[in-house]
Amino acid sequence: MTAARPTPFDPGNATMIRRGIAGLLLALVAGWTAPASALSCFNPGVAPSTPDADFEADADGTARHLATGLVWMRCAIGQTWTGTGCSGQAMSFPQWGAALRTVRDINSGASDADNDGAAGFAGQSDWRMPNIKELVSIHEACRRAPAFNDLVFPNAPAGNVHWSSTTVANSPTVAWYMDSADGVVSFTFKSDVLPRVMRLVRAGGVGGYRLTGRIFADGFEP
Amino acid sequence: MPPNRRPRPAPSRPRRVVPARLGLALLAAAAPAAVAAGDAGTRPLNDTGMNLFHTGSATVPGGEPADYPGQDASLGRDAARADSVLARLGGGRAGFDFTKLDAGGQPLAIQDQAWLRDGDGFDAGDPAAGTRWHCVRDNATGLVWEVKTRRAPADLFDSAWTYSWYSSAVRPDGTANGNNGGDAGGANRGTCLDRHDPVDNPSGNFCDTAGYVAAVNAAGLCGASDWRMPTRAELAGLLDLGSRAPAIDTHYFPNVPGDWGNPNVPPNITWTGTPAAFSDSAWSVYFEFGAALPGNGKNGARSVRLVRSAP
Repeated sequence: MTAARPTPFDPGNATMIRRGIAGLLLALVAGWTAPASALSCFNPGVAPSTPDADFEADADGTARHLATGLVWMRCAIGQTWTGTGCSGQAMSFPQWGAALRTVRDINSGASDADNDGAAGFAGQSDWRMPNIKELVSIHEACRRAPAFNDLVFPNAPAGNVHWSSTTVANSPTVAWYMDSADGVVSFTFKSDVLPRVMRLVRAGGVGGYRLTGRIFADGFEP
Repeated sequence: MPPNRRPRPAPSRPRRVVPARLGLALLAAAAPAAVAAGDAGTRPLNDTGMNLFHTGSATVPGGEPADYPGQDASLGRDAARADSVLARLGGGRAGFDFTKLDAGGQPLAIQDQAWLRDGDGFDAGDPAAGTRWHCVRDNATGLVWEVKTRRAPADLFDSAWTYSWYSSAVRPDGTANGNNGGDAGGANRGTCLDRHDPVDNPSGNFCDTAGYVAAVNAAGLCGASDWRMPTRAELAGLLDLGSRAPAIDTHYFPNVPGDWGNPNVPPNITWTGTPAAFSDSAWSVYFEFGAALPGNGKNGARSVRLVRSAP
């Protein structure tokens, strides 16, 4: 005989419910199977971790995440922002170094891998490869294949390793990644033949601070 | 040329140079002047703690390699700390910003001492001397984290206790809990202080995540009763990816559950409050390196570290 179990309730779940209500209501109104108009959850028993209301999704192909202050490209690199969605497939970068150099080249205009015909993207030229914590911040817990908000990030790569800029401690040949199938975070070799994709980010307050090194006025490093 | 100094190599691309006087102004500012107003979020992220530079195959000194630009160490709070322009309230490695709190939730008067243990490895410090604390406030994210203990005898917060994942289908107010993934999970499957038994200890603690949350709130850890499970993203934010075994700042967080490097012991698996999208499992974070997986079954007895949002 088991004693009647008290109803301990994790208030953290309640907090997430409050955050997710706007997104859930919007989804209910728009219909679960209408990804073009609202986040659609694979598991309605999981509160959205990145509900629509948490973003300012812009028609210029960028989306600001109000919680983190990060501004994301709404398409993966290799896709084309059409003005309302993302067409085409993400470009694969099997080599981490080449991926980083492509980000530099997108900013300078030497590469048009973002398919917008201009240097930078959406008028900005300080895009970066996200670190692994930044990638995790857009993992949508209620979705899978892909585990992204499908309104903010339409037609996202459904099951791909997404590069982060973060090397694994004491293991310089491997880098952290997030897989868009389920949001798994693990590490993989920086040099491989398997497909890897990337989604770029900028801003985020101090997150966007760029190391300068301490340059003294006379041009000599300390 | 003065000794011990060398000319700066010609940059391969334009670099944003911070003159010394602007650097001083940045030290005084809450955020670097190079960051536009309105950039900061309402719940900012920690940086990763990875503040070393690498190529595709080696760790390299002396700054960002030209052919691996924009890597983690070049950006963010860790970079601002490296440039000595990150304003912090507390301390911690790289860009982290932690403050130790006492049992009442107040910052210790002495913040720079190490955790004290006795000859047997049990906690032996005193908050007044700055050698023991109960919680850590993360000044970057606005979260307050539980600190695990190792006392003799073990107390409620001991790092060795384990909990299954449980989140009831119905909330105390009778409404449905919309965030347990559709399955309440495993009740009382762990091993914890004063474990509930329906016959021998009916008033005991349920050794599951919801039971632990209730017990810690009843105990009023750090003067608060709004402790909760962290989300997947929140717990990942605590990782120090510049370290491993464990991947967390052990100065601020001693007693991290796990037997590092022992192949005969299961790895550290710490529950989050986030249920998985697929199947009857929930997200957990592995503090040996920092991986996160959604597939651990809710009956599993794992570690827990609670969090609350600072006002």
